[in-house]
Amino acid sequence: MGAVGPLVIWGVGVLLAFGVLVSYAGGPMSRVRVERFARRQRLDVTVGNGNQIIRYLATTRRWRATGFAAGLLVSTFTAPANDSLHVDFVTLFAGWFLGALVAEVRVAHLAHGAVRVASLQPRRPRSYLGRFSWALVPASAATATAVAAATVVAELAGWAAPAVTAWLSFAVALAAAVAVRAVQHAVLRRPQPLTAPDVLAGDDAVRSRSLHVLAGGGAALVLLCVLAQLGSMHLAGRHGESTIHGIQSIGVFLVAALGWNVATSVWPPHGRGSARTGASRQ
Amino acid sequence: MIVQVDPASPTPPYEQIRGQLATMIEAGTLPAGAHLPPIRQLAADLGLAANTVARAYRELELEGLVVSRVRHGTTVAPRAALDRAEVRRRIDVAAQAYAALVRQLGVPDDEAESRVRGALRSTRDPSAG
Repeated sequence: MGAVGPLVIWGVGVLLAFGVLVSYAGGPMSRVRVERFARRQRLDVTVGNGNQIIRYLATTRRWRATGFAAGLLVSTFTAPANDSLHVDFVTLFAGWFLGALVAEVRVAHLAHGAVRVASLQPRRPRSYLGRFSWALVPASAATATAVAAATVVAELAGWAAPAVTAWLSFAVALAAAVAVRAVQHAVLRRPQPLTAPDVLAGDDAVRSRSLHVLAGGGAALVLLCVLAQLGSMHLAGRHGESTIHGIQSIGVFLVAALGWNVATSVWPPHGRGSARTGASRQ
Repeated sequence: MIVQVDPASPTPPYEQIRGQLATMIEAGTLPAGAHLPPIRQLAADLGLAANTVARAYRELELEGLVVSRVRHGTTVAPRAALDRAEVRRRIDVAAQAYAALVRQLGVPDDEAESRVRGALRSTRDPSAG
């Protein structure tokens, strides 16, 4: 591996990044993706809301792919000198999620008419995702704080010698949690002037999917930082270290499964009927 | 329930919002304890500055129609039942103001009356049949 020069590594990274961007982000939106979105949101795609859904999917795909490519480049640049094909999963995921955050800020909202009309019904998180999903990001931040507190105690007691990356991971976890929460609130506040019921249903579906992706992806990112915190604790004794390695190995899969499950879960769930429509607010 | 704002109207947007909400609260369409949308949500939905909606809410609070509490948002205030004399007095004041506006604009009596009937119909509580 050491024989491969840094320029070649860099070139491969750039080519891969561009390949991902060109083939994935710039292409037309497939019918399959629109149908999958409609299935997850139990939404009837109509002439009125079809373009709105396609615009949302295109915007999120473009920014997520851009973030992923940026993560790939960063991962390539920060690869250890003796490991030229190093790909850091956390960096890739962080890049993708940063793109997802930007996408949610940039998603176009419904246009206002000449006379502005709005519903008087407050928009609450519960209308768009479950309590568990809404609480996931703060709960993950609380876990990061608990691990940081435990690290301090362990260091003071002489049971651990944490590296600086433990505190860096904690800071990243908190910053990510705050950023995700802020964007989640921004999604809830995204303008929704009153218009045709199918267009409002489409807007609600977009809002719900955004909140699900932010909850699942945000919690996964924060929990990956928690695993990094654990890995940097450097517990004294062989048993401590092997336990931490075990938790990390299993934890990565559990966190990925949790994030994916929340981000792609169907809403509204069975038994709650179809997605709420604008008609209910008029 | 909806609220609408006409940017071309000579009435300031905050007054349009205040007036509609006050009417709904007085008519009982918005019952005591009902939550109003957060200021920033309503402002975003209407394409207005948050200060505009905040002013409407503040005026409603000064009138005793709503109560604002930190972390609880703005809710419709509980209202004591008005005696018949007070109800009549308020209706007379509103009717005289409307009549004056009708005369000022030169609107025929028939049309003015029909507008009042239309407004009454639109604010009627559906549960009352």
